[in-house]
Amino acid sequence: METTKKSRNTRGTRASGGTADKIRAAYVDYLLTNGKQPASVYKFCIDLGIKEEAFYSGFGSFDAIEKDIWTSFITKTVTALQSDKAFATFTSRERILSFYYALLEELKNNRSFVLQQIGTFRKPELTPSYLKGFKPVFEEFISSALGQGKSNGEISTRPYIDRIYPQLFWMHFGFILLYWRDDDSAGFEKTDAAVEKSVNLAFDLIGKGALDSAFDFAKFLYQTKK
Amino acid sequence: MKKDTKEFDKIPTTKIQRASKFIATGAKIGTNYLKHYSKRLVNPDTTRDELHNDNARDIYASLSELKGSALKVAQMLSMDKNLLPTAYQQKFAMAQYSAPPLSYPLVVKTFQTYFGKGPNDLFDSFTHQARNAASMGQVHQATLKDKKFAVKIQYPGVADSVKSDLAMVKPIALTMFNLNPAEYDEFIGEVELRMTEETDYVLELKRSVELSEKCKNINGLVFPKYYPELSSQKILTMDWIEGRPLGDFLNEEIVTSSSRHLVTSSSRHIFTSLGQAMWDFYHFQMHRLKAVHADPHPGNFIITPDNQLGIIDFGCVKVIPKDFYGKYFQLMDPRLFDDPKKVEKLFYDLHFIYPDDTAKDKKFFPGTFQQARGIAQSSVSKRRVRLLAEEVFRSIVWIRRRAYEHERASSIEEGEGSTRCDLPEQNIFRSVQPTARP
Repeated sequence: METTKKSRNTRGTRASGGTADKIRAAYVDYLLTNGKQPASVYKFCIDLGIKEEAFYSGFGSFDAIEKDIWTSFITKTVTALQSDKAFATFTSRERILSFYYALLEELKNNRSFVLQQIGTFRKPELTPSYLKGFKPVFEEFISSALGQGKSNGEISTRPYIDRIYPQLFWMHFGFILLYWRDDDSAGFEKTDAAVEKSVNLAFDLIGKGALDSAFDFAKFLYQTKK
Repeated sequence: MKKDTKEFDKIPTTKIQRASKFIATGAKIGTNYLKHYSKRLVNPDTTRDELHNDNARDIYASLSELKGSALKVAQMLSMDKNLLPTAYQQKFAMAQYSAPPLSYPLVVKTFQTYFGKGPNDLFDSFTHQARNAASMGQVHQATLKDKKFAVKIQYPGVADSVKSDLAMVKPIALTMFNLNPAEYDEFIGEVELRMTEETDYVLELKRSVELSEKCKNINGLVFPKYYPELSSQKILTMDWIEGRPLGDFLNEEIVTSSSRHLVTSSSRHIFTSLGQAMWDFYHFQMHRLKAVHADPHPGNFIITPDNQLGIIDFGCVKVIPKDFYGKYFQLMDPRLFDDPKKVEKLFYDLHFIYPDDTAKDKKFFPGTFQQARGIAQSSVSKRRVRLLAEEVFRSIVWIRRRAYEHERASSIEEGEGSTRCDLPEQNIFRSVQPTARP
């Protein structure tokens, strides 16, 4: 397992066990204390008292550490949700809501780190490098929740369009994240309200409703017009 | 840290949407006035009642879409009956404050924030869906062993939105309800204070426990027990009171007794005992506790299966200032009017008259007041009281209120219109009648 290269996923880093945790903690500490990445892996390893080799067996670079931390946020969240018995009984809407709440809770525990990371985030339409491992897990979770919604009729099936729903939710997550960043209410309750309202809106839009009827009607007019 | 991410940087969508809602309403009201005046051209007898009805409908429709504090203001304006023309009152009396429902995950999250546990860990069962809307939140039913609980949960962020919502209501209220700005500011300041208090469940818990403890000896009343260990800033747990809300109860009773004049003796008995309980409840608060349950909304009174009156929701309590109480009830002393100087001073003190009022108003007011008192006390024909009341409506808010109360009170004595949800207010004022009678 030690040979797993550069650890693209959490499983890889978990293999290096305690050292990886130590590196992560030390890195976050350095980042938050100094406001920037350490000068070099060499210096970082000396300060931490480990060999450079040990560092590279866990992570390829400092950016890889950041990516790994972000991925751990979401995998922890998903695991926690799936281990909850009640979760299986939830509707699609409730699954996504509880996912957001749990994820925000996780981010809240690491708010300084998260703020440090997204503070420099300028273009929400582009996925920053540290979210590269986070995004697939996110989209997978959303797809499975939406799939469940489709099978029970909560979400209407719209050919072609419904394939991009996960991407739309990804952008929605970007919105939530930036909203949360600037939220100064006690306990971030405004973010809670924003999540609640925006997810409700999203589900009203992707559920059966006016949109489908409008489309159906337009199609009918187009087809019957000679 | 804050960088130029325009797309996501705090777009005040809700506020813009809300504001545009008001603009749309304004436009509608405008057309209503157009309609009114064009009808008047054709038929000079067209009354303003129709216009008010149209306006009330449109304003109500848009306020209920807005929900939140705006609707609450409408409700409060309607409580203070005479601030609004009749048509508005009736529409707004229907207004039930209802925030959009909280999703179950958010309920769970709220529990976890305050107790570190989900509702299912604290209770044996907990309803997934809300059972009732409550002020600023919703009520779930929970059970633990063989006890049923009502658990009230507040919508996140509601406390902060109060102020901005109220600020948006101001222009519409000023122009459409024809209020004077000073009066409105005083009124809205009070509303804001009460509403902010209402979002504090810790305070509500304290008051609920205190007031229900003090009022427990009044006959015919039921208070739920409150559970501080299961309550927090945003969660309030109390006993579940079985029964029907007062509003439903009255509607059903009225339907079953086909006409209001054919109330059976048994249901009359029930009405009387409920009315008595409510009267006692409000008197006791007004005169002994000097603090009143200030949200006498029909949903806050539960009629239990054995026809007791259950009282819930002490979120909104008005403490009556000592000097106001003293001065206000002095008005009930018939000897007061022998000394015009004293009367005038009292009216200034109570802000019935302001120093910058015109001389005519200053003179008109005490005169009307005395007349109103005289008529109300000698229960003459309702029509005369109403005519007079209309006269009074044009003067000052407070006196308007009183005249109306008297009118209502005398109509009750005639056995009409006694089944309205505004009983508590009447009772406060009925209390003073006996002492006022010579």
